[in-house]
Amino acid sequence: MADTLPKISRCGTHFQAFPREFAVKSIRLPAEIDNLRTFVSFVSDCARKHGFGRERVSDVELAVEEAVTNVCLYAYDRERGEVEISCLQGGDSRSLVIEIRDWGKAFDALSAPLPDLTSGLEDRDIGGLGVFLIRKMADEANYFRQAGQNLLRLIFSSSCR
Amino acid sequence: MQISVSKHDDTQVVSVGGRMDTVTAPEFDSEMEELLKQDAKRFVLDFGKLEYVSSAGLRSILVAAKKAKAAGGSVSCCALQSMVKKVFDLAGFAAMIPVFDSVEEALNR
Repeated sequence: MADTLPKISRCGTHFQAFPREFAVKSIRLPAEIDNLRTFVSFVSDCARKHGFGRERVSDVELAVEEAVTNVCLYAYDRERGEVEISCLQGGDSRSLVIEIRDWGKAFDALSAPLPDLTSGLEDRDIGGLGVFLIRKMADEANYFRQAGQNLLRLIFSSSCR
Repeated sequence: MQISVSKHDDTQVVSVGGRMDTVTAPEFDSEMEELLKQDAKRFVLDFGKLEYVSSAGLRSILVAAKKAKAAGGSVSCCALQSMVKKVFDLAGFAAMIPVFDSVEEALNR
């Protein structure tokens, strides 16, 4: 099955598409904050159907909100564009794989430096928390760029981190 | 997101329920901005009915706390539910903004 999917390269090495062992559920909508709740409801539903508990469903919602918000705000430079989210079953069947895809400018959010988490109120910088939370919520987060697509792949185990 | 405000002596108790995310955080920003304009300086944010917060919500809380402090006041939070508490702890907020178990405890600090 994997052969039917495009190979996505990163840093010169070929990345194998994730084996799609069961029907992939996906949603594709304009990259607008007005659609954020629809995206979040979609992954929430996928995670629940996958047997995730309430707390873990919230983790998935949070990571996806942060990722989709980044795309809506930065990927298309205020031009129109779309976001696609796919939910797949992970290799060990209990984990959930969520792929967030856009066709905007190359942007590896995961390369952002860690935010300041220790300064006092006056000195605390406001930015950078979104990507930090994605990393904390997902068991694995990877970014790939190929053929004009940004792909952020998040893997969630069923247990909370 | 639901927001209600009640006054206890010189402190505004701002109760926030539901979800504080990219979509709703601006409502909280507007409410706090309005209260600060009215010279309110001390705030207790009651999150007893807040089920979910994202980085947008954290940003709004941080901005409100900075503005209140700059005006000579303060912001504290109370009654954090599990998801909100987890995000606060991860983001190091609990070490920056006082967090209490209940509104009463926050008012009597």
